[in-house]
Amino acid sequence: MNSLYYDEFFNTDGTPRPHCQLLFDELQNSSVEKLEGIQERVTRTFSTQSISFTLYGEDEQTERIIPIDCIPRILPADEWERLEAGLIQRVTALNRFVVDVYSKAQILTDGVIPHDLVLGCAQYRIEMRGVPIPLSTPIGICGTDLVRINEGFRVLEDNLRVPSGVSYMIANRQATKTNFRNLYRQYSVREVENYGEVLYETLREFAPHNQSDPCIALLTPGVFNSAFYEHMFLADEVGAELVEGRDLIVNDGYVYMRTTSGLRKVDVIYRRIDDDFLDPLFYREDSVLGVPGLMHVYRKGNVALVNAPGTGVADDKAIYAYVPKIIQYYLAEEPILQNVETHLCRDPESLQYVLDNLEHLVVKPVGGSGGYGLFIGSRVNSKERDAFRVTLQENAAQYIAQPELQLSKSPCWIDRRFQSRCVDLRPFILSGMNCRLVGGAFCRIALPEGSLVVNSSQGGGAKDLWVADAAC
Amino acid sequence: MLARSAAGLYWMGRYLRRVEHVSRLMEVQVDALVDQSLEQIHFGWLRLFSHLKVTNPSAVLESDFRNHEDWSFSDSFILADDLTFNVDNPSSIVNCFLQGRENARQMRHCISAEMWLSLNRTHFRLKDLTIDSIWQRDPHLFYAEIVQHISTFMGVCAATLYRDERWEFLQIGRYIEHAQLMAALLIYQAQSATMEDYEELDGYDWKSLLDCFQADQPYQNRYGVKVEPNHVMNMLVTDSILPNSIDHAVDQIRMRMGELGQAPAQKSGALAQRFTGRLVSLLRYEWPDVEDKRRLLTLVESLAYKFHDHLSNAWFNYEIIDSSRI
Repeated sequence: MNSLYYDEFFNTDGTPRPHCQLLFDELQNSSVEKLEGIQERVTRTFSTQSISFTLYGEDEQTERIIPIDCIPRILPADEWERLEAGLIQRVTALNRFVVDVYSKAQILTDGVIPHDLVLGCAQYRIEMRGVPIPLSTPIGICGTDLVRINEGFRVLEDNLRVPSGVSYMIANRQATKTNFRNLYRQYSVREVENYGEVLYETLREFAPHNQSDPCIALLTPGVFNSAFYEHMFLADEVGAELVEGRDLIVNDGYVYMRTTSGLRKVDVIYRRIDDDFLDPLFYREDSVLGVPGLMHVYRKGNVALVNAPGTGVADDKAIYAYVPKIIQYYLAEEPILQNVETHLCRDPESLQYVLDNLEHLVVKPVGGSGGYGLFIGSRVNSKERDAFRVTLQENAAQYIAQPELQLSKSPCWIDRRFQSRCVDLRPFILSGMNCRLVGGAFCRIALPEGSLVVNSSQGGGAKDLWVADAAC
Repeated sequence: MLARSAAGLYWMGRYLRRVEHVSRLMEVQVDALVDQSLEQIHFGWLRLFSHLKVTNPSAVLESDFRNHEDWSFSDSFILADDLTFNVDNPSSIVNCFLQGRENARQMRHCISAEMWLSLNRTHFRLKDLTIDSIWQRDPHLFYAEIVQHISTFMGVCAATLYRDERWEFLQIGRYIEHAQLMAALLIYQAQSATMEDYEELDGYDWKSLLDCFQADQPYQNRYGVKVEPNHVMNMLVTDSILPNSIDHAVDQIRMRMGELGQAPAQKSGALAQRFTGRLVSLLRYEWPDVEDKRRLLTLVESLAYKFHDHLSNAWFNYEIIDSSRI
């Protein structure tokens, strides 16, 4: 047993963890042919439905079917509930932080976070200063990445702009559960397929002027976006129109969409495009994805944008290091979930540490997401490390560094046998009038042997996560 | 519904209808390679490429087919490849299918899950095929299978699609494409009688159309076994209970248009309705008395184009003039 990483399935003595015993028995009694059959069926479900994620830079194949592993990962309900409490605490504090930095900025005045770290952050939207935010909840939908190391769960990052993956969580469930019917029932697995209802309820709460039956639209960049499948899926789940910028028009201080019956007023926009592209009059003027004048309507309070523009300031990787302090500051509570140890390269002492220990660290750009721009010190040769040291010294403020974590591993069915692969978790936290989670999360796998990168945009796969009420 | 979604469904209907149309004609054409004369085969290809308004690859059809013993197979192979797998040919089966599927992919939330699965099954069937793979086996069966796939898809639509505007626009797209393609096909067919190159067609060209569009049995029931061009033409144009006739398509469009609400652009909407009425009147009341059928078919084709423009302007791409319209 390798004790460097946490094994999700086995104890260090090689026996299955108590909550995995039922699954272990089931798998042990299954022939290779049976497991191959299950794997083939779940894969086929994904391909026949074209459950896809587009990889940028691939010229020919625009639709990449998400690789799915048929073996579920089991999490006991008590562990999940602790995560749930920690996530609600974290998102509640982050919401208060975003509202604060765009209003009184008390947290900066009180010196909890350096002024320049927030105001100099690329995702800080000065245009949002003083803009009233519906429900005082800028972060309606958050996807927080959690990893498990030997010491327990750690928050790897918060995705507060346009997190994706929830559709794959539901698709994983639909594809997997029918293949383990008895086991699914025995484990009394918590539901994730009600996500659409919960999302609808959350979005409805954001409706301006207390409308009870608002018109909701999901704003997508279009079919070439990597997560287009998810946009379509979610629009269907919540009964929203899936709109592109060209379908919307601003008139008389309201946003309308072009329908076959004429123009229809839109009350809530679940936007899946970045701030930069939302409104060419406000942000990037070359944007053809957004809606001219949209921000004007938002500022007047005649349309709700979920998430609000400017939330990216709180998922900047440099701000991430301060989230425990943010929780303490706004909630006067100790963080339930721990961060990963993070070195801010803008700090000279930390920078020196990073430069000296580059081979043991993962360096990330502060404004990055999707696994792009990662520098993994141990995966490159000394020449490349030296070259990166120069980059790092020149742009120190743009990077943070974290230790190379040994992510926990879970068994997967690959090439007709069980193989352990690194996994993470992305639960989705929905905040409207209340904070809500469904009973599960998107579980990602780093598919190549030895890989630590689980991102779908980097070729990662997925498996179903079962939060089990009857785990032992 | 969202205007762009309606347009997507309309175009999906059009593209998939074109897939079916080309597949039906290809099915008959590859069948002809087995036992028909070079003249008939050549005419069949010319008819296909001309009425679809696409140029044939490497000007194969301009060569002197009578002096090449192997013309029917080697050149037909090139032509079949172009009309089946060439993604640069706007009327090829694969290109039209991909366009239809792409529209469906963008409108997945507007169609039933069964429709998407049905379409995807065809996608996976087509994905790895090449002209070599189908030519080595039985190309006739391949085209028959594609027709079957599209028919199944339309059956799934009929069984699962909610009967609101989605259904109406899908059907309008499907039937206007059919009316337009049939008119173009019959215009070309009607001039075959005057072509000097084709003295020995022996009526096969007309008979093949009956086979193509499931009209042979009804034809025999009504006119007997002798194939008369006038009768075939009348049947394919005006038989309102023949599912592949132009009249049937136009009647369906009329009914579906009647189900749509008022168009956001009222003037264009009224014009689209007017052109539907004009098409009905042409086929029902003018056709029997008009001697020059080609002229009338040309008018049908042109009205179909105009109908499309007005429909698009009325429901999909209407202008937003000012806030007083809101």
